[in-house]
Amino acid sequence: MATAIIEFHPETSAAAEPDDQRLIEALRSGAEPAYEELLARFQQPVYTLCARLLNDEGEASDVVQEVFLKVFRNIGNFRGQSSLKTWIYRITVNEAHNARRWFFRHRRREVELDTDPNETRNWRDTIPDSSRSPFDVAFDREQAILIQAALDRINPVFRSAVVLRDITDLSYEEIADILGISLGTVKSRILRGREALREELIKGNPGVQRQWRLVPKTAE
Amino acid sequence: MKAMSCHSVQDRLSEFLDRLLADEEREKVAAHLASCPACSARFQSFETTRATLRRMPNLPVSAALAMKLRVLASHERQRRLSRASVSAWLRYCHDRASLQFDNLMRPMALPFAGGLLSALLLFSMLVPNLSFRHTVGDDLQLVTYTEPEGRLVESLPADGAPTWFWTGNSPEPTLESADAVDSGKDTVLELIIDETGRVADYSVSHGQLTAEMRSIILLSRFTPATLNGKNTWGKKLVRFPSGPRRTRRNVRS
Repeated sequence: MATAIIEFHPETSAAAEPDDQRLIEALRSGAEPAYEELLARFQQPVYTLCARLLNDEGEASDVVQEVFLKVFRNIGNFRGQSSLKTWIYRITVNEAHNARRWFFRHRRREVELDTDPNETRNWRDTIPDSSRSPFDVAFDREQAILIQAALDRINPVFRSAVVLRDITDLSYEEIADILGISLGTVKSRILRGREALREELIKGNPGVQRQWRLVPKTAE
Repeated sequence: MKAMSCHSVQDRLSEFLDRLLADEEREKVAAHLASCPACSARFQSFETTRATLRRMPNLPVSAALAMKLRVLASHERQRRLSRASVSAWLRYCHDRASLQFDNLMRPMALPFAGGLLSALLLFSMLVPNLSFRHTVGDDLQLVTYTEPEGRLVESLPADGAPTWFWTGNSPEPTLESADAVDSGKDTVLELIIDETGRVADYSVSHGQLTAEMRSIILLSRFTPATLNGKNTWGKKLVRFPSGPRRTRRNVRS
């Protein structure tokens, strides 16, 4: 029987941690290092979360800016009832949800004129990672495209739960706090999201009817 | 220990995967998975999906976005600091206004300086060759204007034979163009002549309105001024010389 590879994380406290409190106070007083620290800690995960929820890197960039604008403007009103991380992720999920709704209302028929973001990457991003074989890199990229497409097809309610759990690696309690739902609902959404994702992946890979497996890494 | 049904196990697969089940429940699910190939395959696909999700490449924040976020943070920090005191707020407003002004002017500075310099250069090159010759008459005349014309009449003749008479006692006044230069010494009667040739209005400069002037105003007839062939209003000056009184004479047309 296959075993789970993820380690169990002890549940984190819902309230703001002391480190968060120090950062929040520094942000409120306008200390420059605090602003840099906040960006250093959260810009990458927030961007990844947006990109996975929206499947559009350009849209994700806009949403990330909106998120940090709200964070900077509302840090004075943050009461510390939840951790800084869950508060920022809650804003991110809400902004991504609003952007998606706006996108479907207004921009569905627009033609993309921007260049492909992959073409505008700098040379560091395009140099291959020497620690992994080209086959692994290509295979993972293909799988990522497949899974992102499957994610994009499932219900956004389930997608948020699965992305927060399996990509952002948050606990069930944190997800409940972010989405503003009960723990039972979180469990249900993650289960149904994973089921839906599994079905979409099977639909997207007709050759793999009952299960789809990954080929072991050749570089390891 | 009572075995679980496939349905119950499938409802718990997600929590089993995340190790959230209690020990007893966990053992039951594990036992079922070991004996049920269908549920085991389902669990394996769950696990594979999650492993792939976790291995999805991290999307790097582009340099442009990172820069935008730093600029945003800097602006918001300044905004927050400006609220600390009135002087900080005033300094913030001043900085913003000067920045806005710079941003407004900077794009114009180079074109403006370039335009000014090129204009000066061209002008300095052209000045030695400039000549101010008047080429009168070369232009096509678009407007033709004729002034009112006529003779001054002080009184109408009794028999009606001669049309125009000058019978005044004073030296004969002269009829002049409206743009004639005023010497400042002579009495000048300014007549406004309508399109039928009658005097419509008048004004006197350097003197009083005399009986002669009244007669001239009442009795004189003029060929009206024309503008492109059509009669129009015009202006004439009647100059009364201030020299010694001359002998009386008649003026015949």
